[in-house]
Amino acid sequence: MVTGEEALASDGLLVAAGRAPESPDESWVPSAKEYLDGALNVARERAERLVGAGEERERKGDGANS
Amino acid sequence: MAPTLNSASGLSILSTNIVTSGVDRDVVSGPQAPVVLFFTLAVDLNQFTWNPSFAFTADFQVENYYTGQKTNRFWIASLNALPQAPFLWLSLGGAASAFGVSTPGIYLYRPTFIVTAPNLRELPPFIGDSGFAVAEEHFFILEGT
Repeated sequence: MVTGEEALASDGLLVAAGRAPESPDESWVPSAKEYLDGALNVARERAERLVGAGEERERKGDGANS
Repeated sequence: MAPTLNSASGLSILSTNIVTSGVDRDVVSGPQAPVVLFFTLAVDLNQFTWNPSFAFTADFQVENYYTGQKTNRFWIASLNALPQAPFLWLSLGGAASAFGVSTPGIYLYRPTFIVTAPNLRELPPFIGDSGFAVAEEHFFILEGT
């Protein structure tokens, strides 16, 4: 049940943290959002690479069986 | 009647935000839409030391309002993984489906944050104790296709 940061990343989930202003308001969300948009792109690329690697393994497996 | 506590020992969750497809809003367009779950945390720095032996567990819990089915996504690390500041934001981002948000309808996001203090009371200088904070429920909707 308990998962760590690496397990989250393997599911395409990314964690992030930063300092918040003393009175959190809308102003802190955009800067965090920009960072996380980048982080999400990284997660997406990782996921695509994982899927690609899996397909490659499947192809090789198929080739070995044929 | 026993008091209802949602925080203890110098920790409290101040706010929650859901940023989806780049916008801070509570409407998710589909299971594959990118979603970032945020919460802001207030920490009493007089009660916690940023020490490698202090661990935290952030749970970004999402519940299907109709079925009660919960998806818990845990971020567990040393407190040193976070900036040492009295006010922090933490987030977890990914596709909505990775949080169990895949059937159109109402969901609620309710993060919790726990600090686990080591048993080092005999070793000076010791500051702090285990503590926790629980956020208010934050409802959002997954649109139907």
